Amino acid sequence: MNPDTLENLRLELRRGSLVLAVLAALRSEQYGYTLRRVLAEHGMEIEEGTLYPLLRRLESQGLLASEWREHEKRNKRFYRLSADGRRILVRLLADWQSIDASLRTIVKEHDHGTH
Amino acid sequence: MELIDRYLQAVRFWLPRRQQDDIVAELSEDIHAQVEERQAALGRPLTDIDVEELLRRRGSPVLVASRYLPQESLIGPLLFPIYRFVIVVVTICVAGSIGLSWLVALIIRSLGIVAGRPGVANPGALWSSLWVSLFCSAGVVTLIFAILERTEAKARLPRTWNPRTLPPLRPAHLIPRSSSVIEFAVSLCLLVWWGLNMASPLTLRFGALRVALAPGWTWIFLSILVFALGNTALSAVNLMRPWWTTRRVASRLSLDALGSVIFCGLLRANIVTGVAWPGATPEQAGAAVIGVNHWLAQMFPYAIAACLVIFAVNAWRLIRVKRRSSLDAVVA
Repeated sequence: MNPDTLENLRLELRRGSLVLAVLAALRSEQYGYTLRRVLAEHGMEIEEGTLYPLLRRLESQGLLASEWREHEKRNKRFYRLSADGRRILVRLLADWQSIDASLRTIVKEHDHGTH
Repeated sequence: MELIDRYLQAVRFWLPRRQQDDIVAELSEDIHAQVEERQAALGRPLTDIDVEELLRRRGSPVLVASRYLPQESLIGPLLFPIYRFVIVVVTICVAGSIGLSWLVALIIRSLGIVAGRPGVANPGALWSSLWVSLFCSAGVVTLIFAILERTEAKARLPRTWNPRTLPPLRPAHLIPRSSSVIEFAVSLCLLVWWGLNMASPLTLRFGALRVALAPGWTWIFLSILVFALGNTALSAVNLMRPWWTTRRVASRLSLDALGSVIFCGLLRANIVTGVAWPGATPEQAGAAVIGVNHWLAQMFPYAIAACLVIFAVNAWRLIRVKRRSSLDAVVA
């Protein structure tokens, strides 16, 4: 099997999950660098080149709010979930749980069928 | 830390003007936070080499900036298959028409019809015009599609689609009846004309003109008769059963191979041994014989090229039909 194929499929699988992880992590206010660390600590490593454009996109869609503020003697941009973002996160989490349940059933049935 | 400032300046260059300050400020903050963390971990200030490594991991400035930009393409995924199809058709048309001109020019040159007028039949000039024409036509097509990509027409395309406008189902490897009718008529005429007019052993008469032929003519006459007979039979079968089968494509290939061998053999056979017409002197007749045989021999390379093209087309058709037959067998 081509290793690129697996890597591409992994990336696709992670892409949607990352949005969910970022939205969930931003229920409490964070700036980019700490957000990345929080995600990494929970096993969702994300490159800065992916995270910052994603944060901007989510902000332009009205799901996040941000403000520049001084913190530890340096200006940092803090992000938090907006009211719209909270509503959408609830819906997305429900969808994700539904997908997760469906997948578990499918995988389980398949495992029973093959053993 | 001059390297970081240079890096940020390079990223800024590729960003949209309105977002430059905001993005670069955030990026700068992130890099400095990373530097501080790294320094704390190492227990010393970072060297230039450390900073260089840190920036290299982040990626080139243009790559970093590109992630903040909307994804853009000259021709999007909706129009691209149509664009590719049009490009192929245009390329074939342009190359085909110029190739034909090139062939005609070569023939005219070899016949000496335009002796002293090199501009008319200059294959070199046609060859260079092929590339210019191909680039120009591809450029025009690309430009049209790039404009379409940015107009309302593209957005309307999926909405205006109607299942009833889909083309009817085509049988696999259909032989158009029109081409079978023409082929049958031509083959039959050739067969009758050849049998009636060319059977005379070694001397042919065309009005007052008499042409004496080499002894090999008998074999050529019979071969062409067989070829015409086979062609007539095959086109008649194709007319009644208008789809290609492996056997019939193989017959087509064999017949064309036979025709190629006969035709190319005829060109190199010095087949004309004498000509006579009223008032012709022996010198004139001798010059005519040499001229005709020389002209036929000169056509030989072009005939070989044409035969190879015909052979390739038939071979490709045979492969396709065989592949389709195997697929059908698997599906069945």
